[in-house]
Amino acid sequence: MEAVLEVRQVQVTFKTEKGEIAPVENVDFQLGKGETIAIVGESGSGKSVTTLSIMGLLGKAGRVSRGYISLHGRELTGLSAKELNRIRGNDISMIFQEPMSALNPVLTIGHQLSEQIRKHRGLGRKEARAEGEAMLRRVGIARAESIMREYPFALSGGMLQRVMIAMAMSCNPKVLIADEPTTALDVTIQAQILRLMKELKKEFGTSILLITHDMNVVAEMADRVIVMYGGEVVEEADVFQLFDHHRHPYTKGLLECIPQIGSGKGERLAAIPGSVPLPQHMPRGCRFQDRCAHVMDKCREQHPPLKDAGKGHKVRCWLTCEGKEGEENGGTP
Amino acid sequence: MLNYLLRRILIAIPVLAGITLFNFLIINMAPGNPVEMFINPSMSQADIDLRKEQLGIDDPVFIQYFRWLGNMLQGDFGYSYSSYEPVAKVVGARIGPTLILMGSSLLLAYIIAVPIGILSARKQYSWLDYSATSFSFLGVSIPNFILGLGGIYLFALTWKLFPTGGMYTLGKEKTFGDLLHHLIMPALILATASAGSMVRYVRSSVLEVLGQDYLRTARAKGLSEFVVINKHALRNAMIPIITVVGLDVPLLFGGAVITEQVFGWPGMGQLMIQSIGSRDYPTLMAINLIAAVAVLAANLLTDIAYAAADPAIKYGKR
Repeated sequence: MEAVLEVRQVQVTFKTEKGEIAPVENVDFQLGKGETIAIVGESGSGKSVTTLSIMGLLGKAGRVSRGYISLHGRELTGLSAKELNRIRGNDISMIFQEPMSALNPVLTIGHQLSEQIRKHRGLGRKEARAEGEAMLRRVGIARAESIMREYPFALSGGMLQRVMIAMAMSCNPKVLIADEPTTALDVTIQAQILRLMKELKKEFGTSILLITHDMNVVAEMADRVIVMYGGEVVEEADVFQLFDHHRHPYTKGLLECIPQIGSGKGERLAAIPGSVPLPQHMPRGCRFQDRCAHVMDKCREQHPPLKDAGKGHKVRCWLTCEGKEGEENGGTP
Repeated sequence: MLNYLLRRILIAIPVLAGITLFNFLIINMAPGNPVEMFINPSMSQADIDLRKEQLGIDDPVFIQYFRWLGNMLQGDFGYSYSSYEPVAKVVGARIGPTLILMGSSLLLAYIIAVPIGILSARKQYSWLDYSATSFSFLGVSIPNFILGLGGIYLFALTWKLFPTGGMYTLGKEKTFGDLLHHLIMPALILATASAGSMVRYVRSSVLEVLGQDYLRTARAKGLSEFVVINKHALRNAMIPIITVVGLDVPLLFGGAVITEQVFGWPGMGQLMIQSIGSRDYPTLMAINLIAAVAVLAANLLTDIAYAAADPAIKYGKR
């Protein structure tokens, strides 16, 4: 498959008062044309930082300190702000978790929508508005004309997320990054938004990078899944392969956390004990060691590489990849 | 909106009536009376009483108040006790200079404070931010008259850059350039306190907005940093600032009284101090009324500006 977005050996560091920390290390994947990749993991696993590094939105304190990110072979890391601004919102666009706070409260929907179209597609004020209105209709907003004149406070969360999607798709991007797009919405609205994203993906041929911690969303949307833990990729596989034949204990833990209806009354909900270690307290060896039920001596001493287990299934674990000496595909710090 | 305006103006009427009543009582409670100001040893007690009767200040305070109110409502503010001229004329001549001083210092304060506040927020914890916040603290805490006297000493006496006071050079033609030359120092000094607090308000307001999600969205759309800050951030940051502008007007009035006195600026503040000294009740009442109307109007304008700036606020809808 033709690679649209490549993220190679990326490490992201942030300057803090106590020196540099690296919330993302060893992230490596590629997104094909028309493909949907879901990145899953707990809070603090580095999913959001990864997407922000793709968008160049790390802020002043953060930077990609190792590796590179490229779009259609053009390296994004190290581009000037001006060059990056021609790509953001045009070739790569992004929607966020909280649609209520992601739109500017003092500007009309129409303004915020057409501003992006004018910037990237060079249209005049009128054409851009017409284009924006058409886009609103496309995402299922019937009263597009009057919504254009509304301010964000007058709309519901679901409507605002539709507006965000309209905005993100308005310049026909090659990649859409969706950072937990349904987390803040009602369950019924969630399904509508996911369906809309699927439709648009088919229509525009967009590749989607979906950040979520909801395994149901993964099953619904993704072609491939990347599991992140402690700032690195620990498993990557085709969605069916991952659900049925996952190899990393952390992935297993995540999947067991999905509550099942009728799986025995009164049973406690499954959970992975503990939490992700902070970047400044990463242990030597495997980063999951303290929460892993199968931890071995080797896990405490050596950092496992991301190994290919065949058919594009990659896993970073001493237990499940022991003995199989595939080619190494992950950096060891 | 029109309904709302009308309601606000109607509410302002009893408020104004209350303010004038309290002012009248307080002025009358102050020891001394206008007649004592021009007593001379040759006047007999009968002369003094006659004078009091002529001025109408031998009546009970409430009768005096209602007489003043009745005349005022007919547009008659009475005669000044000290200059014997109509109060409307005496005070009217002073409104212009005060408006010039207050207006220019308000403008100066914002021209100075808004960019510094924004810069201070964008470069938080830099030396620029630290010096801006320190200077704003100094501006707020040093009293106007100290700054005024210091300014006169340095700029007028030592370096002879600006005149020591007044509005025009005596005996010369009244030109705009001459006015500006006289205006710069008092306006700047009156502006320091407002500018000082404004820097801090703008800084904290911009800081709050800079952390908002919608700025990340704006950047993700590929907008330039200039547009992100000046269009998306600033419009939001300015909403709370509007309130401060409204609150600044009464403070500025107080500051103007002192600044006008220090610089001999022929405005209402100076007239007020003189009128207090001579217990010139009608003049004082007129000045107080104008100040009260100005403050109420500033509040109303603030609320209207608020509705214009923040689309979530609509007046007149239930």
